[in-house]
Amino acid sequence: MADTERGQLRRDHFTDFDLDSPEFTENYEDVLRSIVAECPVAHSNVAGGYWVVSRYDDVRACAQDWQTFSSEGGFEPGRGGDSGGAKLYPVELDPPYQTRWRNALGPYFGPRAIRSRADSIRAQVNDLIDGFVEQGRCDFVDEFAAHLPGRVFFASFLGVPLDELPYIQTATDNAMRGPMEGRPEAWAQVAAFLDNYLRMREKEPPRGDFVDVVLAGVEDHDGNPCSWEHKLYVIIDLLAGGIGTTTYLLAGIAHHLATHPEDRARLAEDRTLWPGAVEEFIRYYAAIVALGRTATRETEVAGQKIAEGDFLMLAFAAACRDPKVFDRPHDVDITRKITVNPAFSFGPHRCIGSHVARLEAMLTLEEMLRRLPDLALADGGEPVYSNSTIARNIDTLSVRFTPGPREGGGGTAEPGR
Amino acid sequence: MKYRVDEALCCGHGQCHAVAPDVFDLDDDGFNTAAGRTADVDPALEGAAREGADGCPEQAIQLFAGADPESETP
Repeated sequence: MADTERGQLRRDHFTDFDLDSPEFTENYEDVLRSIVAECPVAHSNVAGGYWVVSRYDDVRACAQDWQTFSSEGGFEPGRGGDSGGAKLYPVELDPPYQTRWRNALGPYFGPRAIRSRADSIRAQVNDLIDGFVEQGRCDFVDEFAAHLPGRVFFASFLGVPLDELPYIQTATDNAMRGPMEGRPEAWAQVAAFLDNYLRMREKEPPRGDFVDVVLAGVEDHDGNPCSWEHKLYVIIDLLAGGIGTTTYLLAGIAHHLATHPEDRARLAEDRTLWPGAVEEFIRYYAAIVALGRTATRETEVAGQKIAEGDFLMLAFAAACRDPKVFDRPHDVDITRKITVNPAFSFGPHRCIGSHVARLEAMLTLEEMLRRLPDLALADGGEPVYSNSTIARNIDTLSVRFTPGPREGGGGTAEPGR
Repeated sequence: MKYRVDEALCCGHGQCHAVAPDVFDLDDDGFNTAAGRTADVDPALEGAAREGADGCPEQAIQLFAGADPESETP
């Protein structure tokens, strides 16, 4: 960044980067702007040290080259080795084992498959809006954005019975957003719930959903049927990857609509703008800041020597702000033409849920425009952001609107399919 | 216009079908049905084909006029 801008930051983010530093959270845009412009491979001294790759072309090249940049050293710094802890699969696997899982699961999350989910997801959107629409104000994260992705995962995709939804939704919310000291316990609850759920489904006839595929499993690295643990890692990964990320996106959309009435008016008038606007929201509110790779050999990225065994974070959120690819990258332009969205990564690990996220965002946008047409920030309602190593979050977003009627579609009554 | 999908690059993201469903179809595993071969583009859909090919995160889709330059049996 220019010296005048750097003067405002105390930390040297080029040589002493830290995804968890409060200064990064608070000066997010400035730091992203500066590393993309001036330091395509920054270095961090925390968690054993890691590199931060920030430009679109470099992030893409590294993500596509899984032979050189392995995912098996963990998705974030400090998870390497056989620590014995729970893994997330397939995000922490390399091909060909990773490929077998992706090919098995991919069809259930592809653009063709998810079309049939739209009615069920729309019902969930409207049921959540029913919960606060009469009040004229709400915390949009607490009452909507933190809940929709979990409902979609558990009710629409997993077919969890209605009476079990509140328990697992609360546990998931505590694991994602609760007080830090309670998160490990909440994650254990989530894992136990999913373990029980898989065991129950194992005794039932197949339902033709992705749970059948998880239960069937694939061959592991050694060509043996994969273990039960691995199946659990897969279902936890799908949950972990889809919940907090989409929460941030939905909160970001609400924030933008609440603060840009001119964009809201254009979107309300012209629905052909919606797909492009959703894509732009996904770019601007890129939920995954960065994910890790481990160099399998000595190599070079953007002129920087990388030693075998070095850990790298591929900063997708920074690639989304690369001015070589996106003109005025720090502005939201709902008419921007985005060819490939780097927010979802590239290569074998590109987000398996991208089409689901888009659908949730599209239906949320549509129903918000219809039911909360004058959405605005409540007094003092500026969003509170946080970063959690790999992810960016909006923790609170206080909004107000003209109260409207409940519609009583009963989203939670939708049968899981 | 024809297109060719590089089987080694196609990861099954489904982005081509999401952008241009009338040009690119997906098989039951979520991969482009033309992976590993050459297929024709309806002349009326050439614009959509370009958008779908550009939208592939892996740049696995090549468009070309006339014969497939990589085809062994032109």
